[in-house]
Amino acid sequence: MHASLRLDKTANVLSLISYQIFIGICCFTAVIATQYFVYPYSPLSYFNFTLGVVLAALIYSDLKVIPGIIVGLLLAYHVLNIPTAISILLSTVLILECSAGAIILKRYFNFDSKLETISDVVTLLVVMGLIITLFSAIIESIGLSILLHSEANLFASLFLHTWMGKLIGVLLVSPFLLVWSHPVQLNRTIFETIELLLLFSILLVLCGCIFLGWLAIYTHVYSGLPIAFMFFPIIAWASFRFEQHIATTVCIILAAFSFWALDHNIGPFTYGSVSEAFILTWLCIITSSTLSMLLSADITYCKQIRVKLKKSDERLNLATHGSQDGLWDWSDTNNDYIWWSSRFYQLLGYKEDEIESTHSSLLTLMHPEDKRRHLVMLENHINGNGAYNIDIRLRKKFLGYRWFHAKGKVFKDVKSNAFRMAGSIIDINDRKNAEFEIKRLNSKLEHKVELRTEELLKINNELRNEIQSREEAQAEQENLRDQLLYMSRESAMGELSTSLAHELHQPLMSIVNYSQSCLIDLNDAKLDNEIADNITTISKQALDAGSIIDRIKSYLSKNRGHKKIVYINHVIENLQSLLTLEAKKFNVSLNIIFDKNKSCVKVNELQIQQLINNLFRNGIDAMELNQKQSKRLIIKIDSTGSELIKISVIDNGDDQFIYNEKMLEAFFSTKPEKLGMGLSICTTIVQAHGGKFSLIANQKNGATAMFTLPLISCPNDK
Amino acid sequence: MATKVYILDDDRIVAHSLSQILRKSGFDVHSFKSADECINHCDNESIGYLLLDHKMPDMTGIQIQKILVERKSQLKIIFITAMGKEIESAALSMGAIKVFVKPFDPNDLVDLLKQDTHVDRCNEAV
Repeated sequence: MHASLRLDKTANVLSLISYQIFIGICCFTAVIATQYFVYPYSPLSYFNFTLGVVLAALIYSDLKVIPGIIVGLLLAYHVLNIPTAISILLSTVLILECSAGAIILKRYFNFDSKLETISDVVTLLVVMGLIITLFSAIIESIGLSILLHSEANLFASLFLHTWMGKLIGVLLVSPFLLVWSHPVQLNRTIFETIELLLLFSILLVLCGCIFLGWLAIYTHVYSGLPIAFMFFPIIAWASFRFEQHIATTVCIILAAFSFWALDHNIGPFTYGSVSEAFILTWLCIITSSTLSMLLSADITYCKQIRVKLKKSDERLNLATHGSQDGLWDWSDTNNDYIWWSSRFYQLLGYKEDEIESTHSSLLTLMHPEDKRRHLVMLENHINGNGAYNIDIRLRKKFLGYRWFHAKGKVFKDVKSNAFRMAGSIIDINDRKNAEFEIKRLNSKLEHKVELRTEELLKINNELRNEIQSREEAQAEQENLRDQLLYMSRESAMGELSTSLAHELHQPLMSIVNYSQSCLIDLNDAKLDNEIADNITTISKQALDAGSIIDRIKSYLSKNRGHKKIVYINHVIENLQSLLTLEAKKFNVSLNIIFDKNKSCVKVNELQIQQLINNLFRNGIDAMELNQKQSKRLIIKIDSTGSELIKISVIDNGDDQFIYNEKMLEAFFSTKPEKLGMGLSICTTIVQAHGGKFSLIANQKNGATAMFTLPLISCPNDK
Repeated sequence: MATKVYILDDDRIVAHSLSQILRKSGFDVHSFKSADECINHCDNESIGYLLLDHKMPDMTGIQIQKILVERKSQLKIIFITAMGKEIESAALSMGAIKVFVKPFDPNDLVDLLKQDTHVDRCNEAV
């Protein structure tokens, strides 16, 4: 039988029918085989193989196979010419007891049909063998008694035979069938195979000798000796050395030989009556079968445990080797002894015999600062307050203290008392060092960040102040520019009015002169007075116009701003930033050479600045179209020798400068869009300050606008 | 003999109108066309009056006055200029007898010339 014969819920009809047929054939065969051993009571034999088959089928499969069983049984009984009523009775009882047994064993006892544990064997024996079969034997016996019209005193015998037969089925046939329904271990070593062959050989020889009279054994020994006990070593050998398959097979072979011997009235059980022979044979088979099942179950269980243990050990070893953890097991927390794995010793740098694996020795290895923490945490964990999970320093044999991470779990008994604790340690020294390093670097970084932040804040403040002062300087420059512009406009107005006045005075003078000339002629000619009056009026109007012009000129030319003594360098310095900005705008390189003697002048500072600004703008205009040279402007203040200070504005315009005396006049300009007041204003300002203005060509190219101012002693010189 | 009056003014119309009045007032008027002509003509023996404008293209009136003073010219200089106030002190300090600011009443000039001539003649007579 194979596991694939198991019917599952999704089996189709065809496989179900095939299975039923198969089971039916098995039951049929079992009944006929049983009949072979018929003794006085027809199908009721000591050897009820049918029950074994039906029970195995129902345990292995579910109750779907019952139809097949019924058909098989009834067919067999029919072949054996057993009356219908008896057939029905026997079939019914058989099916009912086996169904009940299968259901109870599987559902309530979790029966493992491999019979691998003693509890399985005992369950089978007790539930099926002693309880269910007992009741079914009673019912069957009563039924048979009634049907066979047997006498009352035969009931007991009937019952005994029936029950004993059922036990054969339960304890010999069904275990064999159930065990062989599971795959057999085929991968045996060569020695095991030889041993197995030897076992069967010896079994066969023994069976031959005991049951078949080989070696004429009965002629040399007392016939009364229980030679059958010689099988028990074989059974023990099969059970101890090999699993259930072999053990049950040995029992079946034994049983077969016993039946044959019984049938042929030979063997160790044939002394005494037929019944006694039956009973002895039955006892022998049942005993050997039960014994073999129990022994093999025990051995199998032990083997399985050993395998599991081995696997568990292997797993543990692999795990511990793989994880690099040192394991510890404090099997009795009241005791000092702790089991340490080899890795544990390794982590501490000791050999296993160099140090005692105790809690005390662990404490001696522990860093004094960590001992208290460890003990507190341990106690808390044992008392159920928190986990045991701690970083501690342990002194390695040669390397000194190293960081380890220890963890563990306590096990408590039913009264919640801690009795055992187990855990692991792992070397975390590198990790800890890395953590410390990280912490250190972190704090260093934080410190650096702080410093940098301070620095940045400082720079920020400085920048802010710088921006503020630049804004202030810019505002000042703007102010100065506005003032200069205003001044320039004012000066232009003044200069314009002066020039206009001068230009208008000439024609007015002519009007007056010609009017007077006409009056002289009119007086001489003694002509009409009205004409004379008109001409006189013309002349007066012209004179009045002249006065008006003078008053306007006078108003617009008012000298705004007072003169005061200043350092000439300061005057230029105050203008420097404005000039520098303007120079940059026009891509001009500006160079200011200050007075080395730090001289003073008495000037209207704003007017002088306006003057220099004008000359500067003229210089820039002159270099506007420079292609040969880069644009350079020099402002030079020179007070060497003399009582004058010379201020020059030197440009390097591409073209040779050609002086034209009209340049200094009002309304002269080389540019059509300009008014042409610049140099005229400059001249006026310079003359107003008692200086001289001149415009000369440089030796190579460009021009120099130069003006002088009278020097005055500085306030500190007095 | 009529008193000699020389006029130097870059404005031709002003010079012409002034010389017309002076001529009609009985003076012997001569207009110079340029400062060079004036300087070349006026030597230390020239007598009379020179009506001098100040703002002129070649040379200013003050410059011309300076040259004439250096030559010890006997010409009496009267400034006739639109920039009267600005040069008045310089002109008078160098010996000019009057600075007229344009436009002025030419009768004032005529009266001054006549008066000055009369004083001179009286002094000569004495």
